[in-house]
Amino acid sequence: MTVVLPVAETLDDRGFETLVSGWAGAEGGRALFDARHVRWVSPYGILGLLAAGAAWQERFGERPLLEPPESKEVASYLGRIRFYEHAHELFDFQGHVRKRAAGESDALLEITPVRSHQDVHDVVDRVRDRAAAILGKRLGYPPPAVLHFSVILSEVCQNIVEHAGTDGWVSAQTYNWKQRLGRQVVVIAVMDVGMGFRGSLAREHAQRYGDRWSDETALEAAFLHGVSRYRDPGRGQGLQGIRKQVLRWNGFFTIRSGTAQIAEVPDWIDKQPIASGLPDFPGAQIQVVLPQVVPPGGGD
Amino acid sequence: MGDPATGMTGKVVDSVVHTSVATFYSNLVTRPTGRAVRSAIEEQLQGGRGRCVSVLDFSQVGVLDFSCADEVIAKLLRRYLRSDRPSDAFFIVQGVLEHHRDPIDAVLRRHNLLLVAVESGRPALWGPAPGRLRAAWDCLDRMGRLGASEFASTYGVNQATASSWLRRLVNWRVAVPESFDSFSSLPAVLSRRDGGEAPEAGRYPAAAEEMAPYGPEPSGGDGHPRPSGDTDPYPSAPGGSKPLPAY
Repeated sequence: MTVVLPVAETLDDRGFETLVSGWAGAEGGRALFDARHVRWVSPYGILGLLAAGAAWQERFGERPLLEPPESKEVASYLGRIRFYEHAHELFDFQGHVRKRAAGESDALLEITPVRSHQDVHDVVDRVRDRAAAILGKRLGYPPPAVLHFSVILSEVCQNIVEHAGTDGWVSAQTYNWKQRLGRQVVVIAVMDVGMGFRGSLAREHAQRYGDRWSDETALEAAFLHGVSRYRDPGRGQGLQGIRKQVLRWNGFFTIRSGTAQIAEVPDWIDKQPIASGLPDFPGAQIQVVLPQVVPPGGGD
Repeated sequence: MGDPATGMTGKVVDSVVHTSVATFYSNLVTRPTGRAVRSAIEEQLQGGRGRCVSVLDFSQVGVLDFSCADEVIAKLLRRYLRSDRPSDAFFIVQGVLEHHRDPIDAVLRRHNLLLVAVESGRPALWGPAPGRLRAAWDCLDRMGRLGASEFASTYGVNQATASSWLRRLVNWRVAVPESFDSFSSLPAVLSRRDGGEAPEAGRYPAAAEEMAPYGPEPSGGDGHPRPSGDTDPYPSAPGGSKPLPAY
């Protein structure tokens, strides 16, 4: 039996939630991720598709099928950000797919696997020049912003290496959030399908929480209180540092893990800081959105 | 890492070790990188040089993340704050830039540590120091060298209290004891290598090669003034496995 999981036309954070609903409700079999009608993807959404494929294989032991987007623009973009290279490791494809499009990618950071600390170094080294150009020229950030941005990237990627217990991916892109914000943004997405925050923290902290221990309390502990699974008191500072920097830039920072999601929410987005009871999905899915700087008196 | 060097630094310390922390990586990210950098710094400080000042140069460091700052700065300071520290080293960081401040400050606050840092040529006390301790450090930094009686008259406190505050700076490893009741700031110790008495903000050994050999340790003992008993130095004088200081 083949289970068809339709991929939303707009594959962003909301599109990912739709995908997760289908994933969580499935009972096994051969999955077909039907992405033919995808018209737009965000870094979070496209990593979400990879994560859903990996999670399906992990859960049911069967390699899923993928129907790639029919839109030439989307297909070309996915080639440039190296989606197909990574998707080939997870999915069997139906239809013809160009493995890699010709031409230079305009992405801030193409889809990049995160498996080791060396990968974190590579990401930080690779992104610097592009980040300087994008943050400075297009988003109006001051020159040191690229260094703060690199710290954010480094810490979110290390979250995979240190806590997930499996590999993950990172990607970053800049685009115009016309509808939501009317400004350009940089979006960083980092995902894995590992043990998640509850799994990572359980051994050290679950007992203390008793019946209240859940994905939600685990996220609160890590995100709000800097709790870590390690006894080393220096652990857990990365997320706190990211929160502080994202707040300074009036950005949006969210982590989804298991059935819960927690966020640092700026005034320009209508979202609850904590959500629970979401469809269960393994690992951690992180998104950072940094908006274009509005000059004084520029308004929104 | 830069070559360790022994320098003429007045009568307070036996050597100055100058280390460029960006020798292995220009971007200090990840914990393993931080551990490697810390190990290299500690290796330079081995070998029984007596009391020394370790100058950690961040001027070539690009990105410094929180994890690496924790491994390099916090774990180094914590180790040398303990009574069983491997050597009698004091630390000062120089060449720090605005973007280094956040991660360093975050790890100092997380662990309740203090550090003398030189940013834009000016020394400053970083970390969560209580007001009166910060005032004592500021005064010492201005004067370069300070006796408890001098400090007492400046601040209108009795000598025992003044002495206590200055000793606390020593216990935090952000001031150097010269004698029982006389103390030097770390920048002043470094400035005095040229034979001058008064410290000058922003003047530090530019390179290890500039430093000349120096003679025996003047203090003879362990270099830590003993509390007189009429005050309550905090953190307490080194005492083995005591917990780290907290306010």
